[in-house]
Amino acid sequence: MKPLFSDAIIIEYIKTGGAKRQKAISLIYKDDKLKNQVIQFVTANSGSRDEGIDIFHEGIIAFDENVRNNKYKGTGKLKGYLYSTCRFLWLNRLKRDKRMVYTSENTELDQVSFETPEHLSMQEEQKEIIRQLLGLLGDKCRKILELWKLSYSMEEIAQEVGLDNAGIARRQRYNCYQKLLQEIDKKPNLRNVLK
Amino acid sequence: MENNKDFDLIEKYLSNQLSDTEKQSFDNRVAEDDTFAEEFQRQQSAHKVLDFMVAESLKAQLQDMEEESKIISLKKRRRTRLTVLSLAASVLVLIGAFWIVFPQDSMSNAELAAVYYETPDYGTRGTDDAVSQTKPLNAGINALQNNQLPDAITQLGDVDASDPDYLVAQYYLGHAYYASGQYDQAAQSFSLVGSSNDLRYVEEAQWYELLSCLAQNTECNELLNRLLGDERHAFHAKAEEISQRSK
Repeated sequence: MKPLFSDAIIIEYIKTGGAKRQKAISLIYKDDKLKNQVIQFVTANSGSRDEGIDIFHEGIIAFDENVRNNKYKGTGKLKGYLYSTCRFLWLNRLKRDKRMVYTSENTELDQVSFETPEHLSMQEEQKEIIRQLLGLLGDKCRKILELWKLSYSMEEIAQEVGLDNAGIARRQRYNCYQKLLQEIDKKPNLRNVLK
Repeated sequence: MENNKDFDLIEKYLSNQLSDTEKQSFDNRVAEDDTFAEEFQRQQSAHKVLDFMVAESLKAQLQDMEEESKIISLKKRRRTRLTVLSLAASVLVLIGAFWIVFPQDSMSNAELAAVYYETPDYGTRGTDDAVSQTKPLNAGINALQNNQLPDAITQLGDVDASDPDYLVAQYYLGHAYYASGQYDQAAQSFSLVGSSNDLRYVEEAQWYELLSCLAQNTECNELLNRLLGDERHAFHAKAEEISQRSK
């Protein structure tokens, strides 16, 4: 059966942000065929089913971020791109954990370069440093900055966070962003983590 | 940073709002101007932190969806097992009953709602018990579980719209109204959740909004078509069943 949502619509929805992005992510997540393909690849290459699901999630996260940051070039089918991203992420994890089993397929994939977000390959302690920094911002600031990063309009941010109007949302967004920059300035080592 | 113009320019670059030519000139300036490059790195770090935050939030959402789908598939499996057993018994009863009563293929809207309505799963989804489950929400859900419907309606209705659990409260409020036969109010609560961004409840709320409408024995084609038109909707198959069985 022909899918109700084309690749182009899914990408447009992610770029638009807000509820449309949520819908697009939900559509990708519900693609059981793709999910099972990823799980099958991971379980056939030294991984468990749970690790397969985790990699499927990371593939969606990488795709979402690449689309929003204009790094997704969209030359092939979206499903193929997602599957290749997941394979790449899994092989990277095997290498990182020194569990790599070299097969002809792996050797070929080693040469494939994907623009995957840096945080997906960060060590847990590095992630913890960023979590602590974000904790200093407070719930409201984090929510405002997250919605802003996801292209919500100031009106929508005001509505979601319970502020009176878009003007207040804009001011709060500015103050929260300045607070984030100040906290980053206080941690010179953080820039090395984020490089 | 002193220079607001530069600050805004960097923001535009990081938000992909510059043309190719502007990007080229931006990159040249980063290569030549150390102060500008330093400020660029600073703002770029902030954006990477925000990307990390968005990714963590999405990861939590995907894990919630995973849990949800596990619960649904467990329920389905349990239902299938029960169905096989009950089918065997029902076949015998039906053979006998066939000779007495002619089967009714179609049902009224209210009958359909009664057949398809199920009490909700009472575990709130993806919330931090210690932080985000407010007292009226817990008390309301407990009252609903114990069938103390007026109390449940009061407690759940008391959760303020600014509360992070407002949509969760509205979802259970819909069930409390439904169970007490106030289908119009139930439909309103479910409609609010069904049009939200909360992936944990949105599809169920749309389904229960349809049932709340059917329970009033009125025309509900718009709500039914919303589910029929989305073949990936969790309740698409049930909506098709309703469409076929409707009078």
